Amino acid sequence: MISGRRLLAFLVVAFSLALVQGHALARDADIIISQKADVETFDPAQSNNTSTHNVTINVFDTLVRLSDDGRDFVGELAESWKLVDQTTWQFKLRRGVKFHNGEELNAAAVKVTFDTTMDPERKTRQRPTYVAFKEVRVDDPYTVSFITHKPYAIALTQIQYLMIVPPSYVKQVGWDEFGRKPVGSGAFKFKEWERDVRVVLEANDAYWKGKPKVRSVAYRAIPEDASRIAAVQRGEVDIIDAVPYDRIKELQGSPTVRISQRQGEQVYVGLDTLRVEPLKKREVRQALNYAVNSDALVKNLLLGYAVRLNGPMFPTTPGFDEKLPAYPFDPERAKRMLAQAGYPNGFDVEFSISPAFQGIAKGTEVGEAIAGQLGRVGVRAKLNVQDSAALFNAYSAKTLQMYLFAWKSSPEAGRHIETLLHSKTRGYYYQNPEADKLIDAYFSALDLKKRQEIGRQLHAFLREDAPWIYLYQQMDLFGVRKNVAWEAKPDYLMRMRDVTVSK
Amino acid sequence: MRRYILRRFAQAVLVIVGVSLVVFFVIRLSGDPTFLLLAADATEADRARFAREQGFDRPIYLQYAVFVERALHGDLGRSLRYRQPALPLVLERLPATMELALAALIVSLLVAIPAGVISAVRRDTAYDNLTMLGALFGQSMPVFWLGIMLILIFSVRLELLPTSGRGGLDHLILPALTLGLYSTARVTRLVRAGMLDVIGQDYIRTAHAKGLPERWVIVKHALRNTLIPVITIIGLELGTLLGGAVITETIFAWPGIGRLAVTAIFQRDYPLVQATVLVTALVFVLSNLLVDLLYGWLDPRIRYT
Repeated sequence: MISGRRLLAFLVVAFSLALVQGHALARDADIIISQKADVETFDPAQSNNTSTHNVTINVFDTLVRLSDDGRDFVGELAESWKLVDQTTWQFKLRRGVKFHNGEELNAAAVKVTFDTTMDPERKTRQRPTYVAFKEVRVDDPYTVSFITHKPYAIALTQIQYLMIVPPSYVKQVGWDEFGRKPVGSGAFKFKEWERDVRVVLEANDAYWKGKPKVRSVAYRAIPEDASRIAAVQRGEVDIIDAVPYDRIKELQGSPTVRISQRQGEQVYVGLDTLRVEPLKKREVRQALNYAVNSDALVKNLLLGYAVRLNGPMFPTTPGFDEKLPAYPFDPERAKRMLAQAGYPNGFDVEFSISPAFQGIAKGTEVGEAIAGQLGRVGVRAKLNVQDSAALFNAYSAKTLQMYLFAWKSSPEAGRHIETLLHSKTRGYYYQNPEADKLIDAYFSALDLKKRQEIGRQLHAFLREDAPWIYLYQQMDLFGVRKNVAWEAKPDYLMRMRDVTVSK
Repeated sequence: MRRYILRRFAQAVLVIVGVSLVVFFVIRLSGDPTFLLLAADATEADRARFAREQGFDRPIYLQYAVFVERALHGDLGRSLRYRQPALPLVLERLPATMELALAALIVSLLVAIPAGVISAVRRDTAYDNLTMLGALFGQSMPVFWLGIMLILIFSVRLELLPTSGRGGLDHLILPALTLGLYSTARVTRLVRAGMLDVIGQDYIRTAHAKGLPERWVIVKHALRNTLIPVITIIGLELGTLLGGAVITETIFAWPGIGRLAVTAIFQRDYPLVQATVLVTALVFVLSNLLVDLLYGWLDPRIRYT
C-alpha cells in the first residue's frame, strides 16, 4: 500500500497549491482589441507606453488632438487657444464637461493634472515630457494657460498627451487605487480590468461629443505575434496591433482581415562622428549614405511598407523639403569619396544592431543587408548583435561606433531632431554648433511660416552634414477585421468613439 | 525524524538563498532598466535622478543587503513598470500557473502510464516501436513550434478551440497539451523502463505461477511497484512544468507567472523578476520539501539514510 499512500501524499501537496478557478472568456464586448502588451496602469502620468495610452485615451480627454492628416491640431476639451505672448499658450475650455463620477472638468482640473504629473514626489514617467513648461495657470474657471520656459513652437505636441484627471476623486481614493479603477471624462467608462486577461470599457452615453457608436470595448493582450494573428483571423478579436512584416503577405490574402497602417519609426544608422576617426569626416559619412541602397531595403525587406527619407525629417514635419533628393545609391561615387578622404582601402567599424530594438522591423535582416552593402565599397562593418537594453546601455555609454536605430516621434513636430541631434540634449555621437543654432531657432519659431523656412535650412544642413545614414520611415501595421470601420491615426492613439462594426 | 526534518528544512533555506543571490546579480548584469522605463527622450538628468530614486547608484552588495532585509519582512519591492508592490502581482498569477501545470501533469499521466505499461508488456512489437518513436518526437519537439501548430490546426483551421487566453475548460486544452507533451514523453519512457525491470523480478514470475490472470499481474503487482520511482519524478516534473510554463504562457497569452516573468525580464523590472523567480522557487522547494517529509513519514528507510 506504500505506493498508494505516496501517490495520495503527492496529490494532497499538489492540489493544496492549486486554486483552480474558471471563468468564461466569450465575446464580451462589441469590439475587441488585442495589443501585444497589457495596460501598465490607468494613471496616465505613470506610463509612457503606447499600448497603455491606446486604452487610456478612451477613458480620458485631452485639450487638443492631432488632425487625421498629421499636420495640425484640433480642439477637444479646448474650444480655442491662442498665444498670449511668446511663452503663454492660453486655452478656452468647453463648458459643462463632466467626469464619469459627475465631477466638473474645469481649468482647476487641468492645473491639478499638470501639477501632479510634475510633482517630484510622485516620480512620474510623464514628467520628462513636460520639461519645457514652467507652469500652468488658472485664469478663470474655463480659461487655463500653459507657460513655457522659453518660446517653444511644439508646445501643442506635448499638450496633446496630457489626459485630464478628476482632482476630487483622485484625492478621495489615492493614486494607487486610481491606477486600478480610473474615472475620466472620455467616451468610455472604465468597467473592469483583470491584469493580463482583459480590460473592459463601456460607452459613456453622456459624452460631450455624443454617444459612442459601440456599446463596449474590450482589450485582450496577446504577447506572441503568431497567436495574436491567429486570434484576429479566427475572429476572436477585431483589431490587432504590431503585425510583423513577415506576416504581411498572409493578411493581404485574407478574406476577413485587412491591414491598416500609419507612419511609424524613423530608421537610421547612427554614426559616432566624435570618436571614430574616419566618421569624423563629412565626406566619409556622405559616402556611406551613397553606399547604402535604401530603396532596395524598402522594396525587398519591408515589402514597400516604408517611406524613403531624404534627411532626419518626416514628410509631415514643417520644413520637410520634398524637392531635396534622397542620397541616390551610387557605390562607385562612394568609393571615390572614400579614396579622396584618405581611405582608398576602406576601414573597419563595429556595427551594433538589436533585432527588435524600439519596434524596428526586420532589424537583423536590415542590419545584415547594410553591412553587406558597405562591404562592397570597402567599409568592413562587423555586426554586433545585442538585446535592446544592452544596446541602449552602450548607446548612452557612448561606446557605439555605428548602430541601427529606430525612433518614433511626433510626425508634425520633429521633436526627435532636438532630442537626438542637439548637442545639449544628446550630444553622444554628434555635436555641431551650427546644427545647434538652427535647431534652437527652429523650435523657438512660433510662426509657422518662419518655422517652415528655418526647417528647410535645418533639413538641408543635416542632410548635407550626414550625422546618420538616412534610411526610411517604417509603418505601424494593424490587422483589422473587414467588418470593422477603423483606421490607424498619425498620433499613435487608438480612439474608439467613432468605430462602427457591421455584421 | 526531527533531525531529518531539520536537515531538509535547512537545505530548502539554502536553496532559496542561492536562488535569491543568482537572480539578484544576474538580472543586474543584463542591463539597465532606466532606458526602458523612462521616456525615450528623457534627459541625462532625468535618468540620473531615476537611478538615485531607485537606489541603482549604490554599490551592488548594499542593494542586495537592502533587498534581503526587506524580503525578510515580506516586502519584495515595487514593480518599476506597474508601479505596484511586486509580491501581490506575482501571487495573483499563481493560480493560473498552477492550473496550467496541474492540467499538463494530469494529461501527461493519463497518457503516459497506460502507454508505458502497454509498451513494456508488448516489448519490441510495432506498438512499442511506435510509442518510443513518439516519445522521441515528444521530447525533441520545440514547445514553441508545437503550440503555434496546435493553434493553427485546432483554432484557425478547425475552429474547435479558442486561440489563446484564460477562460473555461476549452481554453485550457491546447496549452495543457503543449506544456504536457515533454513530460508525457519522459514519463512514458520511465514507466516502460520501470515495468521492464519489474516484469523480470521473481515475484512476478511467482504471480504468474500462481495462475493469476495476466491483467491482474500487470496492474496489481507490476505497475504498483513501477510507480514508486515515477511518483518521485512527478515531484520534479511539476517544477519542470512551472518552468516550462514561461514559453507556453507567452504563446497562449495565459495570465500566469511565466508570462509575467518574461515581460519583467524584457523590461529589466528588477523587483518583479526577483519576486517571480523567488516565488516560483519557493513553490518548488516547498512542494519538494513536503513530499520529502511525507515520504520520511511513510517510509522509515528514507529518514535514516
